[in-house]
Amino acid sequence: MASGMQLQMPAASADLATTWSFLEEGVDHIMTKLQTGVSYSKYMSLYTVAYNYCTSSKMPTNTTAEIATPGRTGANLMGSDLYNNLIRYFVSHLRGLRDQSDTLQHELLLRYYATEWDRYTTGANYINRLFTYLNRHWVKRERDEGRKGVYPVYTLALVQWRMNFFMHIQNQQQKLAGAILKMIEQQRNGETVDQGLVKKVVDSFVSLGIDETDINKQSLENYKEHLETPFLDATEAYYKHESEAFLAENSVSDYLRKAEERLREEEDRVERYLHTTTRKLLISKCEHVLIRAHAELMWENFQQLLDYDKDEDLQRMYALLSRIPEGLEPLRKKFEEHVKKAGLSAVAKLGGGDAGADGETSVDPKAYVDALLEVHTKNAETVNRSFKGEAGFVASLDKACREFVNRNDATGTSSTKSPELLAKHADALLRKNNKMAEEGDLEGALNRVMVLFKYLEDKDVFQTFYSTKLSKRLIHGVSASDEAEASMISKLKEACGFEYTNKLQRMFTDMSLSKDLTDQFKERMEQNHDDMDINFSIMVLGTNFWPLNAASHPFSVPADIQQTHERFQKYYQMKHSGRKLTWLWNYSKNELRTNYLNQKYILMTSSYQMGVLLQYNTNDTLSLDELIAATSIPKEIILQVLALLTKAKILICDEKEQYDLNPNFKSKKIRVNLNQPIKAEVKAESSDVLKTVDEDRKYVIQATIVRIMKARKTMKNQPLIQEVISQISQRFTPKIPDIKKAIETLLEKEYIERVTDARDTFAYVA
Amino acid sequence: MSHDIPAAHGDHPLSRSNSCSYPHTVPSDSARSADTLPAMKAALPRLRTTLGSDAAYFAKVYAYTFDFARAEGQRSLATDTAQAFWALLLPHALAGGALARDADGDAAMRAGWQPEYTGWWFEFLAERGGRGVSKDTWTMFLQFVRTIDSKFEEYDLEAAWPSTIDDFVTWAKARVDAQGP
Repeated sequence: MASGMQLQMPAASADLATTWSFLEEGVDHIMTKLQTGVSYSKYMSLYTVAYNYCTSSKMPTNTTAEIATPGRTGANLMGSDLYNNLIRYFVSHLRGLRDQSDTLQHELLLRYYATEWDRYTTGANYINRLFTYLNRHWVKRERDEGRKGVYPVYTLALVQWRMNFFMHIQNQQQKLAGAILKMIEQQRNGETVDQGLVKKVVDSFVSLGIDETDINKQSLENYKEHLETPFLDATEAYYKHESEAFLAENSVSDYLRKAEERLREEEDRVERYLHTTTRKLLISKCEHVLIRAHAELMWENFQQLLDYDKDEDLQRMYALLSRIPEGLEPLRKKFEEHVKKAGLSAVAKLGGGDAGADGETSVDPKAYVDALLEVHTKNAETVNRSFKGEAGFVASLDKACREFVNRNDATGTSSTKSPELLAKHADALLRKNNKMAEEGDLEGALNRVMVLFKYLEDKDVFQTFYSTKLSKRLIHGVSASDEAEASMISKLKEACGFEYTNKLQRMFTDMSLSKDLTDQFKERMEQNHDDMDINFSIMVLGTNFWPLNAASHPFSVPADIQQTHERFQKYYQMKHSGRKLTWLWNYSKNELRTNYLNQKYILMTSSYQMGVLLQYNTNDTLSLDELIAATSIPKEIILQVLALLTKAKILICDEKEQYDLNPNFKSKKIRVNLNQPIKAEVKAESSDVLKTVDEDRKYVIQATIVRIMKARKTMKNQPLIQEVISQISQRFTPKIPDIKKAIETLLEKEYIERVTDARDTFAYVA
Repeated sequence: MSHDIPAAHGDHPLSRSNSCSYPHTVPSDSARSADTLPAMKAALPRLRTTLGSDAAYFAKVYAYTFDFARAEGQRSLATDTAQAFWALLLPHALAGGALARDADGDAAMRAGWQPEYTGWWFEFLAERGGRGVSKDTWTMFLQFVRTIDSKFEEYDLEAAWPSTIDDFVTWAKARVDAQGP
């Protein structure tokens, strides 16, 4: 036992005065000089004395004037005297601290407060255990009976600290919280502060919150009132001032960095020494002052960052503005506009735009597609990298792309130009002798076609052009690879469904069936005839699946191939009776071997060229009229055919309308390709395709209306039109007058009728 | 094109043999009761007045006219046939009040279909040429005449009108604009 007055342990029956003076000496020792130690026996005797007093059956003394409440059950419990003495002790103990603190401020005050807090709470903990019996019985019963202001001893110590010391300091212009705020400000200014000290004091603010109704629960009221609120106010003022001053002298880009840093620091601050519940309020306050207050400026600056590809700054701006409600919306709008402009100007730069009166533009499909793709790729990267692939920006990108892909300088007002160019580009990719195929990046190039395809409004136009081009590739055998063709079709199928690619797939089926058919026919002919001087191969193509039309003019099958022509016709009718064969002379090609020259050449020709040339097996010179009579080819077509043949110097036209076989024909190549498309054919292609599209659309709209009406039975005009648009817009954007015309056609055909008395309502006619 | 125009045989449609049964088949109590020639004669002026002034009765006759005038096996009415009947029916009903504007509130106060518009309609049909008049166009045209305002301003191009009437309104509006106020 250390120095100090040594008191004899009072007897179990000792009175209050004796008991308390013994206890007070021990309590004071624990509270003020614990570091000198308390022996176990001393501690035990203190405990015993407190216990003895509480279990003695003395009547309460007058001093406490405890009145037995009616209805109180059980024995009279001793304790209120001890409890009141403890209060008196704490009050006088804390008065001593007050005087000391009055001379201190700022960090010194905090240091003093923290040291005293440590000492005081440690001591109070021991004292609490010393009075365990009091806590468990007297205090518990008082509280159970609803008495306010009675706490277990440790809590009592805290309550007293708050009342007599904490509030005393706070009442001097919140000196304690002020000191904390000052340290925080110093830290914000870049000074190093003792964060442990701050944390200790802040923690005491929390510990001092006592929930009156349930002392086991923590109340944050004290912390909120005395620290959090002033802290948030100080934060707002600090950052308001700082951000304004900073922006006055620095760029927005620098500010973004600064704001990001500040937000991170504040997050850390909560972690380091504030209560976690402050995080939400603090961060939202910071977001308000640092971001919301300067959002307009950031929005304004956004375009500049986009223009100069300031990726890091964009990332920062996105991250910051995503923290406040509606912060991103203006960015999304601007981004959409930006992408749209980029797309339009990329196309404008290609030049040669401005669809002429005949809708013909000189834009190269590849250059066009590449220009569109470049804009998309670049901005898709921006979305993914700078805007974390956020859905709103993805939507902006899509919207912008849909706009410039369908309407730009090259398309003019035509919504069919883009699908046409894209389909032509796909055709170029899938043709033999395309470099891309050799580089092995064909698949990638096709995927890029699909990127743009997704944005096409008139997918049906693409479909029609694509199938026309595909049919040419297949007929002329210029497809680069079956694999690539299949891959492209499966991509289209994935994007638009089975129906979209059904015809395309059927075209491949026809091709392979035709190959077998040619082989079988050849075999049969070899069995039956031995005069087969002609090499013959056939493609039988289903009318419904192939976008091919027979020429509208007649053609006399030349005598030389007449026999084969008939034999095949018979053979085919035998195999499939009832099927009608239409011969597409305008699509077939021929090879003729020359025997009239020293050098044997092989002339690769169209059927019409062949029809003309074969006439020279029997004549060396023929007039135009004779040729027309022999071939039945109309004059304007045969003139073009002859022009090509004379240009190639197979025929010579020295006299007007008189064509002679050139006996001195010479060519460097043995195989001479004469088969070039004639003008009328080239020009007809695009307009034919568009005519087909228009026809198809009529049926699609009608079929859609019937499908809808069948399901709904009756429908008003407006909702019906809306429903049709929403169902069809996947393939193309139907025009309202077209829908109305389709409705009329269906009224006339009695698929639907107007409901009597409700003229704008239609009913399905079963 | 000529094959889908119901044959008019060069006759005036009203001179066709079945035209005498016209008033009989129109559902009307007064007509049905007239079974003797003098009674019929007496009933005729009465019917005439009713046709021009009674909107419901007029609508019945108008609706019936399409099927009556249509050539057998044809879905639509030849344009000249339709015009002849319109020329017969519309002025009479406009004069008699059976075509009074069918509108609510303020709209009822403003002017509707003007007598000269019937002529415009014929001009428009002639300019458009070709196709006959479908039953829907015939039926909806009555509705149109009774609801349209005199300047074609209240017309809703996206409502459920047949496209022929849509086109006519666009045509007529241009003409109204050209004439000035």
